[in-house]
Formats: sequence, C-alpha cells, structure tokens
Amino acid sequence: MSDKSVRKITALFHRYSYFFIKIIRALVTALIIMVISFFMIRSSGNPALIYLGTEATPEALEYFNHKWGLDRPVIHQFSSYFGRLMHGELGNSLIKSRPVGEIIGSRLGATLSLMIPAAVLSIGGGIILGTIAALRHKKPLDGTILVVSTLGFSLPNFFFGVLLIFLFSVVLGWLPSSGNEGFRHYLMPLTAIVTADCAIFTRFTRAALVDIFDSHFIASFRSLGIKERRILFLQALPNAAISLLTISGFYIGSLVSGAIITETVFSWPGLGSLLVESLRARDYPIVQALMLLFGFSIVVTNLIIDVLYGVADPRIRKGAEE
Amino acid sequence: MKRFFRIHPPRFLFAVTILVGFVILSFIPLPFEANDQVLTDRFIPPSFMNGGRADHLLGTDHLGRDMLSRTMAGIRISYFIALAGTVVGAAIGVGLGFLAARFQSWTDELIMMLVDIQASLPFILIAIAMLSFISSSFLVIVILLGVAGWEKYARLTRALTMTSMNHGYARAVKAAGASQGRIFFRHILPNISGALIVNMTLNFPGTMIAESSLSFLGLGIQPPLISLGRLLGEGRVYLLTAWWITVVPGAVIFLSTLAMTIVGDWARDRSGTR
Repeated sequence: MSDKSVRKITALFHRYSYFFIKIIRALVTALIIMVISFFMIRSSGNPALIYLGTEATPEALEYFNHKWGLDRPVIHQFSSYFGRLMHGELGNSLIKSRPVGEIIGSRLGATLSLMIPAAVLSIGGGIILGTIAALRHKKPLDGTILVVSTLGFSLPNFFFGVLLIFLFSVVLGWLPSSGNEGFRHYLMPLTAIVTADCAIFTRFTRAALVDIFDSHFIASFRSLGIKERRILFLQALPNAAISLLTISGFYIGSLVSGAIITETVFSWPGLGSLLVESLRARDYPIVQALMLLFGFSIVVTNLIIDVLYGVADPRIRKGAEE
Repeated sequence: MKRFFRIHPPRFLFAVTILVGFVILSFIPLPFEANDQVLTDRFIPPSFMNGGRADHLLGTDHLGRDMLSRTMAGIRISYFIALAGTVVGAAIGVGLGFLAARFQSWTDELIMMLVDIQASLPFILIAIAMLSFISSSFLVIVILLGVAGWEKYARLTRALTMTSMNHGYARAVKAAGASQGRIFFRHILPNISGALIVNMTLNFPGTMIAESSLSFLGLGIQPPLISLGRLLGEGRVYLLTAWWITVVPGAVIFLSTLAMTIVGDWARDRSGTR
C-alpha cells in the first residue's frame, strides 16, 4: 500500500472513529455473549447424561460424546460451535426433539404482539404524562402524576400481575388469566407492563424537562415573549430528546428479556415463558439460543441508537475522538 | 418545627416509618419457627377473616406454616440481600471508577468498555445465564446483584474523581507529596461520598425488585432460606383458595420499594444532584 492510501485510511478512521468504536464494542459484546452461552452448556453437566439419562451404557455415552464432538478439546468445540452458529444452526431441543429454531419461531409472534404495543403505549404515554407534569410543575396535577408514577414504579411487575389476576379472573371472573387467544387476553398483561414502564418514562421526561425549563436559555426565550407552546415543541422537547433516546434504546433492547416475568405470571406462550420452562427442564440448547437472541437484540438496538446519536449530534462524535 | 417539616415532608416521614417498622419487625423473635409444618393447620385465613385464628395473625400457607413468621424471616433476608448487593456493587464500581480516572488511557478505555457492555445487558439475563451453571446460594445472589449494579457507580466515581483531581484541595495534597491512592481515599472519596450515597439510595429499590423477581421465578434464594419474592412465587398457585399467601409478602415488597423510592427521591432533591 502506498503512503498516501495509508494516510487516507487513517484519516477516514479518525473521522468516523466514533462509529468504529461503537461497532467494535458491539462486536465484543456479541462475542462475550457467545462465549458465555457456550460455556453455559458445557459446565451445566455432561450433555450426554442429560440427554441419555443416568442409566445409559458406557458405549452409548461414548458414541454420543463422539457424535457431538464432546471428546475433542474445548477450543475445537468452540470453533465448531461458532461455525454452526454462523450457519444459523442452533441444534435440537433435548426434550421436544425438534429444531430449536422452529420452537423459537413458533413462540416469537406471541411475545412481539404483546411487547410492541406495550412499548408504544409506555414510551408515548410516559412522554405525554411527563410533559404535562413538567408544564404544571409544583401544581396539583404535577403532584398527582408524580404520586401515581412513583406508585407504578415501585409496584413490582409480578406482584401487580398477580393482583390483577386475583381481582379480574378470580374474584370478578371477567378476564382470562392465561393464554393469548383474543383481545381480552391482552388486557391484563398490557396493563401490568405499561403501568410499570410508563411510570419510568413519565419520571424521566418530567425530570429532564423540569431541568431544561430551569435553564437560562429557556428564560431568555421567555423574556423575548415567545409563546410557551413554541418553546416546548421547538426548544425543550428536542433538548430532552437525546436522553430520552438513550433510555428508549435500553428499554426496547431489553423488552424481550423483560417479557420473562410478565409471560410467566400470565402463562403467555411467548419466548420469556419458553426460557423459564426450558431452564426448569434443563433443556439447554433452547436456553442457549434464547440467551443469544435476547443478547443480540440488545446489542443491535444499542448500536442503532448510538449511530443515530452520532448522526443527530456532531458534538457526541467529537467527544469520542478526544 | 416548621422548618423540620419543610426539610422532611410527610411522605418522607411516612416512608421512613415503614422502613424502620419493617426492620424492627424483622428483628423481633419469630412467633413460630418459619419452616415448621403443621399439616392439620393448612390454609388458615388471617385472624380478621372468618375462620381465622388468634395465634396465626396472617394465616398459614399450604403446608400449615405461619405466614407472619415467614414474612418476617423473608424481610430479614430480602433486606439484607438488597443492602449487601447494593454495597458490593458500589464497592466494585468505586474501585474501577477510581482506577479509570487514575490511570486514564487504555485502562480507562477498557473499564468504560466494560461499563458499556454491562449497561447494555439486563440483570435478569445475566442472572439466568450465571445461575444456569452456578447453583444458587446466598453469596452468589449478592455477588450477582453487585455485578448488576456496579456500572453506575463506576461512571459516577470516574467523572467526579476526574474533576476533583483538578480542584485546589487535591492539587495542594498532591504538591505536599501524597500518593494518588491516598489522595483518593483520604480526600476525594469523602468529598464525593454524598453523591455516591444518593445513588445507592436510588438503586436500592431496583436491587430489591431484582432479587424478588429472581426468587419469584424460583432462581433466587433457595429453601430453607425464605425471601419475600420466593413466598410470592410459591403462593401464586393457591391464589384461588388462599390469596393471603401471595398478597401479604407482595404488599410488603411493594411498601418497601415504594418507601425506598421516596427516600431516594428525597435524598436526590436535597443534595441537588440528578
């Protein structure tokens, strides 16, 4: 390579170093998740014993170990595991003897159909309520919203879910307590998730906006006689947007794994309850695949948010270079 | 007097009363042995209900164990774990945050990368991954909770230490020949401890919910130890016939996290940090 092209590449790297660092971090995180998931299977006991049972003959164990390459060095096993993963092969469930990918595919829809509306309602509702509270700062309405959101924030998901089931399924008998067949099945799980998560966004938006409304530049806009509504939509909200984007990113990334508790409470046939079931049954190929899926979904959303940041706000890009 | 109530609003006093009340309750000797099964006394409702008995104030569960005793034992363990987990997290975070600020360059890069990775993986996921190959125990749960929370303290300590190192007092001590470690532990740490304590108070309810969620799924504290989340998880099956087995520990968890959140918000507002 000529000197010029090296310099060109260095310059390019320097210019986009923010994005490179973020991508490298995402890759390292993904790799760590893969290594953890690999060792998770290996150290959870001999898969041959789990698969064949404790009464298997030594010949059968040896055959099994050889067939799955368990008699080879760990590093070989990891590289072949890595290779299979790259080809999208996740193995078979130990108990249901169906491909893991197929089982996950059959439960993915139930999780998404619950979590996407929950996310939209939580983020949207939280931003609206937080804004209202900040506009009425230190007035009764602000106090009410603050009290309700503190209650929602402190009420653990699993306890609220159980309370809802007790009230609406056991005592009143209005709503079904498990399954996902129709609209009525969605009401309680959605309420449980949105109550807790909407409270997080409400508290966050309120705190961010109250801070911004306190700052000098808003005061100077006010002194210029600019309308409150204009200040809110053109100055205050865009300023709060960056930090809202961060927590939304974390939130959306962890939505799938956040479903673990809610799905268990409401016996929702999604990925979260699949994880808990498989963990109890020691069906490790499924647990492993789900950890990878959850982990990667978080890494990817965070990377997207980081890139959006860098594009939206050049100051952040600069910060990475220093 | 007026000043006292302005600094300590009613909601704060209410929260402190709840927390102190629960802590005292957890130290009173238990009326019954918490794991004692009396199979003839199963599903006795709380005293105030029809069929309740005076000796079992909050009723009994599916094995005839006294709910009041079990809840008290649960408070003891759940509070202790939440406290220990928070302290472990703070200790790891403060240590790594200081190292990042002290050595800068690649040490800083590495630690901040770990911070980023940690922040992007939710607690429940790390916990499930770990607990599927380490069997759950008291110590493991405390360490897990600590590992889940260290990243906020590391960030905070690093930022505060970096600014403090340029302050007059730190430079004066440095000029007098103190080592970096001594400057940090004797001079900077006491100065930034306020912000760290506020952060610990704010994280406390989250740690408690994390522990009880884990125990609720049956992954946390294992019998014969009792935690509030575990009580709730076990009682859920009997919701139809005996709601108190679930609702009593649930209400204690809710009141505790609520009280801690109020105290945390109060501490943050008082200290003026965000």
